[in-house]
Amino acid sequence: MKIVIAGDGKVGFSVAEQLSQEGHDLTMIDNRSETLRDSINQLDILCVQGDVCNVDVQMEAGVDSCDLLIACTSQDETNLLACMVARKLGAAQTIARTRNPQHTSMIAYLQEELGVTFTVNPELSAAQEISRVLRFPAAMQIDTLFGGNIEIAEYKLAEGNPMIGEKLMALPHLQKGNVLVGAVQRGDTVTIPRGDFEFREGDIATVIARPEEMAKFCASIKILRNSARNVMIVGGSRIAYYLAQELSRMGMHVKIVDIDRARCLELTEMLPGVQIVHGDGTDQKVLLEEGLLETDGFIGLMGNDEQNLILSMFASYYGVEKVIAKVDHMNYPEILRRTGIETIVSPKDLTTNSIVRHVRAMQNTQGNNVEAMRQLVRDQAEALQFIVRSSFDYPDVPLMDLPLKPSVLIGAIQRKGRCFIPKGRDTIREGDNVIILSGRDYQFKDINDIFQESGRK
Amino acid sequence: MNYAMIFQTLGYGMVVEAGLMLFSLFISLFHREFDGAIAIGITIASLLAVGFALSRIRTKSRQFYARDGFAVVTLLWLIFAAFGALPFVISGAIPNYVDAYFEIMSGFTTTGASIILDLDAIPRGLMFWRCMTQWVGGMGVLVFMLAVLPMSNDSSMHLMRAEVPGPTKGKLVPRMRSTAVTLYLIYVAMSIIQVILLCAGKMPLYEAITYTFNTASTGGFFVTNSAIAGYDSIYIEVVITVFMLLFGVNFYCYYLILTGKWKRAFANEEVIWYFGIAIGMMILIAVTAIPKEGSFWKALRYSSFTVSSLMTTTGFSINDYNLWPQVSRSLIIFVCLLGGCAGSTAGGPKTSRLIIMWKSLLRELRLMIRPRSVEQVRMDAKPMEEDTIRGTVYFMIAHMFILAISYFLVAFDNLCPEDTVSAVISCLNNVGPGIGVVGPAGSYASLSYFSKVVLTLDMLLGRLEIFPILLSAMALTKRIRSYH
Repeated sequence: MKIVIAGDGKVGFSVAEQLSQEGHDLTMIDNRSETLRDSINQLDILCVQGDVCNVDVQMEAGVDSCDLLIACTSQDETNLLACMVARKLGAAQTIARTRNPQHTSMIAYLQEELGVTFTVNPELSAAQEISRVLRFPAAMQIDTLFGGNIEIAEYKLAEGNPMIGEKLMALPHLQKGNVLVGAVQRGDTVTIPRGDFEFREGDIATVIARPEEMAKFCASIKILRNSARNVMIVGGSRIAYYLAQELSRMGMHVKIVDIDRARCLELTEMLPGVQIVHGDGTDQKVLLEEGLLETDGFIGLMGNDEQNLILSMFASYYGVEKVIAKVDHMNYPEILRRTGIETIVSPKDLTTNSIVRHVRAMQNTQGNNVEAMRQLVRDQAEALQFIVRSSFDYPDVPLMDLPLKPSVLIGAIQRKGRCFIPKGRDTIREGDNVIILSGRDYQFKDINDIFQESGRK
Repeated sequence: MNYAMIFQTLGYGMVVEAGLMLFSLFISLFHREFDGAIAIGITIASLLAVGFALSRIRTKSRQFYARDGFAVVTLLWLIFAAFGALPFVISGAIPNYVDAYFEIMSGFTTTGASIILDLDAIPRGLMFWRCMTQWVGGMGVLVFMLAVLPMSNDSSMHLMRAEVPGPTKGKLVPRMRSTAVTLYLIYVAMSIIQVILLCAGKMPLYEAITYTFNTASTGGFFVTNSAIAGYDSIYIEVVITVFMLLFGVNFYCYYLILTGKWKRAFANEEVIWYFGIAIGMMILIAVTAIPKEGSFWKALRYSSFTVSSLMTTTGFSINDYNLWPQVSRSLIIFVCLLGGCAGSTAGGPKTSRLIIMWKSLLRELRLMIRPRSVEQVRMDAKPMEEDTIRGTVYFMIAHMFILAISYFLVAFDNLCPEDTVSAVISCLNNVGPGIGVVGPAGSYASLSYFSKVVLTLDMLLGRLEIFPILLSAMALTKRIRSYH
């Protein structure tokens, strides 16, 4: 694919590095000629110097005929403007990096009205990643759709799991319709289960739910024994805000320590259920006084990598179970793993990964109407995301009356920025974003392909 | 330095050279020149043997840095010429190896300086190879390898950087390999057009192809003793004049034209200067040559051919300009110092360097008067990077030093100063002929072996634009090692 990357920063470079290896034709735009020179020396890409929002510069970079523009400068507004210009010039898709919560909250508007296909928020992804690490065992596979609003988890039913021997419709959480079992792998076969499906030991189940429902579900079937309950966050950054919001929604007890009094006040306002402590997070006494010994999750989110690492080592020395450090610049994972810090979370890497994943999905879905795709249970099944257009065959028909092909499930619906797992009485409307689960052998190209031929109008 | 990777790349290069030689082998067999065919066959066999052996080398890391790139380019060119000279020695067409090496290096570097006195005595297969070296060398040996071999990785920019001439090295399209392919497609297409036009002027096909090889690369080997003047056709002269000028234009412009961006192609500052200087010099030399040629139009016919030939560093001639008045001859030496556009097949210092030097000189003067003013040197309405300007200045300094040192060394040949200067300028700028002994009517055959070796090196220094050779010489003598 022809891809233009606007902004040759840390994220821009590492996205270019990955995508170049995957064989895409890349053009990089940036204002700084020195960084461009570094990039062109290390990567097989084309560089154009100039303002990323400038029409002439974008034309020179070939945006008019490109498949994708990725705007990842440090400025939200620049990124959004660059994407809008690119869309007007004829770029097929655009990705913008946005970090301001105000912008992130209007994702739906950005997608529908401004034509920005996909937004990445490094701080939000970092918060989501940390929250996943706190909630799930590392072995569990977790993937996200709809910008983190829907989670897809895969896990193996080990001996003693309460789901074993139960029928799908008998599981209490599933009945409420908030959690969906999308695909089950048994041996080499994958089935999209119906209500009468019975679980056995060794099955690998794919579960779809919103993050907070997922946590409750996991707790109810007792696959998690060590989900953190008391979490201490040092550093009241934007990540801390997103993270505290998400964790407290899941019923965890969260405490944020920050040295800046004004920031503390701000956080108290924004996060009503969270305990905010004004104090020096690097001071041992403060941490111990605030109950470091009673916490089972410690997260270092200060601006300084070294402080985060040292503090995390300190916490893990005091026996905190789950210790996570945010690292922006340094990257020595091999050495850090030895120090007892369970996880290093790097917003830069997360942003890069989610952009690269989007590009891969784009490539898989070129030439059809699929918006995004995730492969499930070792590529045996897939989750496809479609936007429902006016050409949809069954608008406003309850799901239970739809003539679906066998082994097809409606997994989740996003309507006006709100996500839910649909029940039998729900309908699909124009403008919805729909996730379809299906076996690998179908290869749907359009949402209307999921219906049986005979039932079509 | 990543020696394993360097030698592996050299191995691939030798296999590619063997492949290129096959064409000459077919021509030899077609014309039943069995001596030549055997000589070429032996060379191909030895190239394949060594090449395959080297390409089998296991590489621990595929990492390629700038210094490795420079070393590969330098060694590859030396090796290409070393093996390329073999058929001439084996077949006895050029009995002495130093002569043969001079001749083939002159081919690959598209200089066109020749030591062969009787061209008609050279078998056609070998003559084809001699001309083909020019065509391949014109766009670049490594660029050719990048285009045909699946060896492109992220570091291949280091390879192309060393070979594509000019102060700024741009790619046409994001992928190195597609850039190399695009360059060669434009090159091949333009060459084919020229062959067709020459054939239309009743030039035999074989000569049309070989002359196109020598024009497209701005090389300038003659193919027959009677040379271009022998056809006595103004049409052929005009076709060659025009194509020499066209091949001296930055290939980026052709890419822009192909992709429909006419405006940007024609607004290219370097190309405007290039044609401006060329036309200006044509008229100037024509005026000064009127006393000898009689009429302005006759003088213009010769001067336009000579100027486009020497400025693009091709080196063809259709008259003996040695017989022109002194002022014309002096101006001809000046034309040899200009060169074509960056990113073309032409040699020399390149028009863009001259523009940069001129503009930065003016800026420097203005800054002396008003030290506090802030100014940028602009090219194509965009500010030039200071690094590029500095690089250009140092390139010109290195160029001058090498001219001076070579002049000192060749001086021992006891030629007159004018001949010595023109020989050195001509070889370092990849022009070919000079003035006097080495002029259009003469040849380099009479020079001593020592001078030939010096001039051979000059040709390579000129073609690779000096720095790759100096750097790899330093790296190979471990000077640079201490810094890495």
